[in-house]
Amino acid sequence: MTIRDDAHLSDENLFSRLRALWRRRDPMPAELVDNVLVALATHDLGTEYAMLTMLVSSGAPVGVRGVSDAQVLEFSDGTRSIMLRVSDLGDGRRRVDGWIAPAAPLSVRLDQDLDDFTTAASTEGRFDFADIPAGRTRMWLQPEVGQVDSTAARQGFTTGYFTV
Amino acid sequence: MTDNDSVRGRPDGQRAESHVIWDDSAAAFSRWLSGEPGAMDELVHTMTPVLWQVVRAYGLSQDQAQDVVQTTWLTLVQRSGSIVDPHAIAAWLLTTTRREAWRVSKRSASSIPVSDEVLEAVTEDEVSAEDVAIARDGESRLWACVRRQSERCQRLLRIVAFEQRPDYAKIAKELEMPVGSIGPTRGRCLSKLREALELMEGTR
Repeated sequence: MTIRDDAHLSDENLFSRLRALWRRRDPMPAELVDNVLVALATHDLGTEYAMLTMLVSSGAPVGVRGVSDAQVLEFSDGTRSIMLRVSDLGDGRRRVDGWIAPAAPLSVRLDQDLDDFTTAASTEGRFDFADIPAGRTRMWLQPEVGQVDSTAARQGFTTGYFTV
Repeated sequence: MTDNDSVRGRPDGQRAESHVIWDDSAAAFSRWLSGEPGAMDELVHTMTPVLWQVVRAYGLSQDQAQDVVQTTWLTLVQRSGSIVDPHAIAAWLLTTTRREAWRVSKRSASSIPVSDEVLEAVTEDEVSAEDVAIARDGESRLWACVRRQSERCQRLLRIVAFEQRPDYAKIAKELEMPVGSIGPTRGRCLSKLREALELMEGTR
């Protein structure tokens, strides 16, 4: 194979044209990047995120008329526990107050089917979501960006789905 | 860029473009490793279109190809600790993707040859001899020439076009070709394509 100086049909020019050709004739599906990001957001985490299991669910789910107006949920992986107090605000809205023990200023995200909500826990390990919809919810906790300086320290926690 | 680059020709097009992709990928991956979760999004945006093209070269359906790409990314976050050199991230992703694509294509009896499926997607401007004769668009001519090549050539050219430093030994296994023949085959495929293109563009 000889080196082509005529840029029109040089190897590089041909490969460049071939890439443009395949990108146009067989483009990546528009939704693929988002699908990957969703898959990472929900799976990623198996290895880096310790799974918190629900230890306590006291009281019936809130919102059941005449039964209770607050429910306490406790999650733990044996080393750290998260307690949630879920209050009924009426109209399918909830207030969630949380405590992390031992205390850690983690970022806290509640993933719901239609939306997600993020807040940061104080250095005392307290956080709250003042007004979120009732429904299926999953909690993620992770160190805030900038608070960790090594991969090993990026230890987060997550729960299975529960209902608020 | 070094003097002993194995890719011949002028350092334009593929080399410049893929260098940008590789450098961006390495930078994003490094930032992700140092605790910046958003950097993974950048890496996904940069590399997913490239992975798609490589997977599709193996003749997988759209759904299969999407699954392979997703599997690659999940494998990355599960095994990120084993990637010692962040600069190798693009190569690692491409290798993992090719391995998975090859595995799925072997397993799948219903695998559709990529040439046929791509063809389906563009039936509205299917290339006939008459079309070729009147084609004004360089891409249509190139497409017509590509489609004249053997399926093996089409696959090899597609993989090589989207990888900066293709691993010939692995590709040879996946395309069921002798290792030593990949380089010459690449050259032959490229020559045939060039001849066809010169012929067609000369007839314009």
